[in-house]
Amino acid sequence: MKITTKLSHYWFVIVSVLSFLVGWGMLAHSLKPIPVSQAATLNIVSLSTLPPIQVFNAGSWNGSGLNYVAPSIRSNTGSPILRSGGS
Amino acid sequence: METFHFRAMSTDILLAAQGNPSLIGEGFERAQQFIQASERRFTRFSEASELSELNRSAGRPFLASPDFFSVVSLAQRFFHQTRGLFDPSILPDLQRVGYDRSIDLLRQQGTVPMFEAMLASERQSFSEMELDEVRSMILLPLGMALDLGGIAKGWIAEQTGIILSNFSSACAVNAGGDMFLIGLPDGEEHWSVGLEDPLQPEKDLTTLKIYPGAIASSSVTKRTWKQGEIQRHHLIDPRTGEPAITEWLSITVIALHTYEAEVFAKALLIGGPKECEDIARTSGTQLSYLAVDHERKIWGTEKSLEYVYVH
Repeated sequence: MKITTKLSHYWFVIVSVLSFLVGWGMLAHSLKPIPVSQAATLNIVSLSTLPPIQVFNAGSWNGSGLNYVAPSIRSNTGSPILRSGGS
Repeated sequence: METFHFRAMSTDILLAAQGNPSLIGEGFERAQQFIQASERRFTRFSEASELSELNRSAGRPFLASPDFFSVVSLAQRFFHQTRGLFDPSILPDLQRVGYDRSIDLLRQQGTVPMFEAMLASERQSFSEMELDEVRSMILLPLGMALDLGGIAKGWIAEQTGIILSNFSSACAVNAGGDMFLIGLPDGEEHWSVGLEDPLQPEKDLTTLKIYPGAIASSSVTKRTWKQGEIQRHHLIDPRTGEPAITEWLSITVIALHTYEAEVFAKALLIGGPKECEDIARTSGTQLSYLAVDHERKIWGTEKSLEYVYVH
């Protein structure tokens, strides 16, 4: 009975030590994790600066589908003077 | 290109035509006669006009002339297309705020008195008017009276253009900013039309390049007068019965027909940006329009940008 108990103790000790050494060896030879600071640098995507909201809205009437029209006057036209503005 | 100016319908008329001068002279004469005859038919300021006769016959069937029936039919169609923002039955409100005589007389007078009953009264919907196309009959509900001012002006400008085109290869009719253009002037790819500054009408804000078809503007700064101490204008908002409070000073619409451009210019100006989008979506008409805001900046739909002259 005593011999059986002693043998099982040795067995557990040997298996535990061997498992520890195997695990140590595996970790020692596995790929190293990238340091946090280096990983953050790699993942940054350069984005262009967005215009401020006021500038974005300047091209349309209150966010509607109407666009700002830059004035442009034509002079010296050969056709008669036609003008519209309501009566 | 020959031109001919005269005054009718309380506005300045310009006829322009290209071709044989003697033929064009005859064309101008016919065109002027048509405008004057149409004015007599459609004015609300003469008791003898067909319009006044119709208004007096409210409550019983009225036999209309073909031209008159055409314009009233168009008015009914556009009342529905603009979801009631164009409504010729606002005449009682227009008179209540002082526009009960021609604009020339109003301007001479300067100020008109306030009436005792200053609140808009209930009125029947224009949709209750009945039309009998077969017999050319119109039945106005009792108490209803119409003002066909703008739509009639647009229709007259277009018909005048068609008459003038019988004498000319390219012609234009401008009735106070409501225009109908046929053909193109020699050497030109389009007609050049100045978009008036609503606050300084002698100046243009920009130049538009318009192809044969129509253009019309509506503005809250042109037909104005004072009633007592209150500044009034002629664009009545049918939802309130009062002169419209608008986000823009003027709207200019480019379309196939002058009466269509005139009606939508009025409806869009009264309705404002929100209604513009809804009407443009539901009217079935591809609307091209330019709006001038209170800072005199011009705003346009994407389609309208192709009409803006670029150096």
